[in-house]
Amino acid sequence: MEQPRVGTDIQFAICGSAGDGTIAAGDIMKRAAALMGFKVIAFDIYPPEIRGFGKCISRIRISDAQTYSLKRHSDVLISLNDAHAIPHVGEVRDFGAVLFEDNSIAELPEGGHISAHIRAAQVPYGFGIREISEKATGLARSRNIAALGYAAGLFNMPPGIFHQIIAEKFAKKPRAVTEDNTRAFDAGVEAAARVFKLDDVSVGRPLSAASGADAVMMTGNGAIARGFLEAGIQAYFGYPITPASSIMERMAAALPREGGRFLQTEDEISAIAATLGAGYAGARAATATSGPGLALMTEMMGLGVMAEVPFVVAVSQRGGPSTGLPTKTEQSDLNLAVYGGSGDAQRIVLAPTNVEGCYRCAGMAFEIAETYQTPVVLLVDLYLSNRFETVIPPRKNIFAPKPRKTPKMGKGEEYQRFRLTESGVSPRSIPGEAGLTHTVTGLEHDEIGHPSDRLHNEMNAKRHHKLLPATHFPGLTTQKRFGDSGKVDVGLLGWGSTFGEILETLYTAQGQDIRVAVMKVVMLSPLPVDEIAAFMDDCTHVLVPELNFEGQFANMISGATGRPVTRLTQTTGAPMLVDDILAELHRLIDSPAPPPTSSHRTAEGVRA
Amino acid sequence: MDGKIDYRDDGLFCSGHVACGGCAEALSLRVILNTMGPDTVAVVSPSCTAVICGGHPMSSLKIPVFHTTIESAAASAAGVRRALRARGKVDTNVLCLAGDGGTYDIGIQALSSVAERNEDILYICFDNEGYMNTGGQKSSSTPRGAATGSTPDGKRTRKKNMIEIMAAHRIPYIATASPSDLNDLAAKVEKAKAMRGTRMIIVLIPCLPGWGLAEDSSVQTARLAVQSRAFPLVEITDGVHYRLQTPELCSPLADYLTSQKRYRHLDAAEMARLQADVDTDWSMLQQRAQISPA
Repeated sequence: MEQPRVGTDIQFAICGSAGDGTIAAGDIMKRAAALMGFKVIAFDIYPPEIRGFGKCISRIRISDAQTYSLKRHSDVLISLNDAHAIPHVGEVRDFGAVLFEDNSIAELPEGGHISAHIRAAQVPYGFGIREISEKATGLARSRNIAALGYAAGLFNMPPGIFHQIIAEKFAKKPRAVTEDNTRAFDAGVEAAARVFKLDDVSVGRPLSAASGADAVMMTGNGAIARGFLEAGIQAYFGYPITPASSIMERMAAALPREGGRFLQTEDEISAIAATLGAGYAGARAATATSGPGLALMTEMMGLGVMAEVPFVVAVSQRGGPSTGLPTKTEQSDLNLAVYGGSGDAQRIVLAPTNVEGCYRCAGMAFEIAETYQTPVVLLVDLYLSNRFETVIPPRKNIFAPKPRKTPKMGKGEEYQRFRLTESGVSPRSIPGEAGLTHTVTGLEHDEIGHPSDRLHNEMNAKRHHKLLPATHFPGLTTQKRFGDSGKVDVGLLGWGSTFGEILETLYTAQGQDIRVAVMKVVMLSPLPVDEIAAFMDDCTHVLVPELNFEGQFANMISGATGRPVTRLTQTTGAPMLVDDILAELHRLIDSPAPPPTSSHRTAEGVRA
Repeated sequence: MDGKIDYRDDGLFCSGHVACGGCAEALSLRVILNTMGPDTVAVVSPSCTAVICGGHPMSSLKIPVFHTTIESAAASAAGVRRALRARGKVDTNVLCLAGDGGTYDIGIQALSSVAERNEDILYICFDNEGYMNTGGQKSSSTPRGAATGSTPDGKRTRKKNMIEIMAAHRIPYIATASPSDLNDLAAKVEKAKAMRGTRMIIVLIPCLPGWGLAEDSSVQTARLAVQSRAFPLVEITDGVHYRLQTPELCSPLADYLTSQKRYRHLDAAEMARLQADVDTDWSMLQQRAQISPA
């Protein structure tokens, strides 16, 4: 087994109503765990922007070894609002802990108290959350922090680290806020000290040698913004859309400080048009959007391909089509990202599989775009955009731009912006370079850029072939195999955020003595076909789990390799469950021979 | 003013909608919808309104509702109007409900074309001066100085003057309205309903989370906007005849600005500059109303 699971692997779920401080408590917990040196993955679910009601859940998985998804079962549930938390009691594993308010001030209907819903095998810890907060601070407002203190006390987590995070979190507020919350936290710890612990949840000391101080807690969107900035982005153009808006907001705050230019345009067409304009004029330029915005941008994607202009578009997918599920995750814009637009318009599409991948792909995207003079799409989804992971960025900026080379012209030589070269990459100049003035057009053109249909076939071939070496771009993981080497019973092919669940499936399956391997594909266009085909050679069955209905990636793989695959698709708006992938994996192993043609199952079908 | 709200409520707007508690948009929508009556089709673009309208069968509007894309409210409404004509239903009202992002920014191309063709549509813009449903970014309706997610240090340019843009299309009726005077809003909707052609009413909606307001201060803030002349109430007929409503009580702009968190970074000099913007706009409107009264 590649990665034995020992030591700490604990998932906390904190559930409350909007206004209870649920997300804030989760934020302190994940930052404290990261500072302790644990690996952290966290995902918050909260209502849309309209305020005042609705359920909030913060789930935080902390572990010694790197994990790749949230667990289906939490080890600890903290309820700040029973009505919202009751449906989540079931997610707590046997001998896990449920923490709740046992001193309700309101009259409750029958079944309204959480204690009525806790199974015999779960361990209840009822305590006066409100009372602790009120005694410590005079107000009930610090209930969330009091409950957090109780959990820290119960699971023996060092209070000093929490104090530090609380002070950082409330640094901009009056000092009394930090003092009150620290007192509420300590009162929670104190209350837990007298409790006899019956659960088997254990938070040990992290094994990781990496110092917690080097780890940075980032969301996928935060990682993309950081990657862009380290790569020296000079211009960003955006238009608000869930779940990509936070990239724009980070750019609005950071770019002017770094001497860059930020502009919010009136729609997505203008956002990408301005990005293209800036790319043409020689700046590192990007925009970000979601599926509906990308649909509006496709015409300009075609111009970017035709005019061979480098720029970057980050796309965070949500449920579609149309307005779809704006606050739910899905991977159904793969076709649009890879094929969207008119004509043969091949571009580069990168789909990172975790937060660190978002940072690395965003950091390298401009260099790739400039190397091949083409648009680069960075394809993520809501689940990846909004989830938190610990990333340890390199101490030295490895993405800083290298000096650009101006094309050298021989005496009397005519500058050919679109010259047909062996690599397909032509000498690119930007406006203002003497002797290299040229016209850029969306019309098909010849080597100097003169509108002409004479070389249409050659130009299509050039625009196609120049991208192919990108599958081996230095320093970029475009695909990677994990698990057993050699022949395997089942091989799983995955892309994007779903790869986290695929990797967890691998580790579970290996514990069950199944010969299994997985491959993540990060570069979706152009596709690393040779590596994928070699992987498929080793697999009796190939399973492709993804969050869209048609099996868009499976179609792409099958089409590129001419081989059958088994699809596992799901569109519930939630990440795929490891158990569902595992069930399909077992079904395949039990079936005697590989299916003669591609089969298609939905994860719901597997469950039924 | 006796403070009584005087309009007929046939229950076309239901309770249980999902607007933020205390949001004046729900209040305004109730007045508008009941004044329009049941023989109305609503075309809604993505906005807070779209969320408040909700989905079938929990729709808060007891009329047919067509949710379109954010750039397309006016164009989709033109399609609905043509179809109703083709089916012989000439009296049915076609009501666009859009936000300022969908009106001032991404939707202006379709809106301008609809106005140029004088399509028979009543277009309501609920103007909360930003993209509040995606977490509060600026739109071209955001006033100078206001901080948003995408203008963290305050917007540097002025609010787009949408009523003058629409007036330049010479459409039959343009008005601004405020939830602080619901009788005035109802009267304007009644007046617009009786007309044909493209009609537009912009209703100012102070956004509780987006502007940084307490839950009980929406109507009060809208009133301050009118009294400080930051949001003048005006009617323009045929694009040239102006009626400017001078508020009975006047207050300095600073009162309006300091009541909101989005302006809290402003210093006295910046506030004075905003006051100058407001004074210029007001005197322009006064001149127009004098030269070409309604």
